[in-house]
Amino acid sequence: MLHRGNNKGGVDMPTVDMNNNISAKIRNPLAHLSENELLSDVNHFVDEAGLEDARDLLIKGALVAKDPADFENVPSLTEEEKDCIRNEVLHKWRQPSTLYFTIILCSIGAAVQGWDQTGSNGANLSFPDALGIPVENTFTLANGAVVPNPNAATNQWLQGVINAAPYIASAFL
Amino acid sequence: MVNSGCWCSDPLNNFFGRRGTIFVAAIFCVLAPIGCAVSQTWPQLLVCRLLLGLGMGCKGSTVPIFSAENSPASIRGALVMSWQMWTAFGILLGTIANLAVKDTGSISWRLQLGSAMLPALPLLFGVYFCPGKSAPSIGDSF
Repeated sequence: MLHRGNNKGGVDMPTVDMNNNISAKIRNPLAHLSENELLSDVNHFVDEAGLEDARDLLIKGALVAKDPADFENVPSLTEEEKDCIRNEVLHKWRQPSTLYFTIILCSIGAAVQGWDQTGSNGANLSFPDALGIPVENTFTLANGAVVPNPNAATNQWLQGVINAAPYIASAFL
Repeated sequence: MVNSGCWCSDPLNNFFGRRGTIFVAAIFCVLAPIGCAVSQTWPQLLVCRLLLGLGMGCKGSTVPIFSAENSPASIRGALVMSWQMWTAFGILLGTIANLAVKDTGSISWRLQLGSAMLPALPLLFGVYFCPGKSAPSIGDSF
């Protein structure tokens, strides 16, 4: 990125204990540059990064970033661009429809997640019997006799592993 | 939490980008519930649910990042929070689906497991209408 060997701005820096400085604010690093210094920095960056197409935009951006509160007085900005910057504050929900489409789609993704987590709840009532791993501790035979289920403990573990499977796969694979 | 899992989501994101990863995850989320629904033995059901977990993990760790990267900073928090809200809404929908098919007799558990493919279908097709590059680059984060 940009390399500036000496601090030409010569701003007086108060002595600060860098190890105990929780209320520190970062000074806008562009604030003390002159316009010519700023432009030469941007041009240097454009040449270095090969962003010729974006040179004008980057210059405008740097001029706005130098003093964000004063963007109205940046001469190269068009009225349309100024309007966009004003809307960032005045109408923060005025966004492109593609953004809202993306958010809706992400919400569908979230709903899939919830549905996946819930789908097995009802299925637990009947899939162990249907797949031959009954989890009841006893069976009641047709003649009314109650006999113990020898595989109950194993089958209960199998049911648990099947229920946990999506989370096992999410966490370990 | 599911969203923090799935180690394979990182290389997938590198290869396919966010949209590609969501697409791949959505394929798992459509096919795995179908596999669960037609399982004939418990190992089949176990494997299908493991595959479902792959899709859930990749999706859960990619979708919130995707929405965060697309949102402007001033409303990013509000939009990314919609993930948790809609997960809860999905739980509601899943419960409704469970109830809706509870009286279908011996196939009810198949319908209950398989119904989870329904919301994954719009995700599968919709993700291609989202803006985005195929792989993360300098322009993707602002």
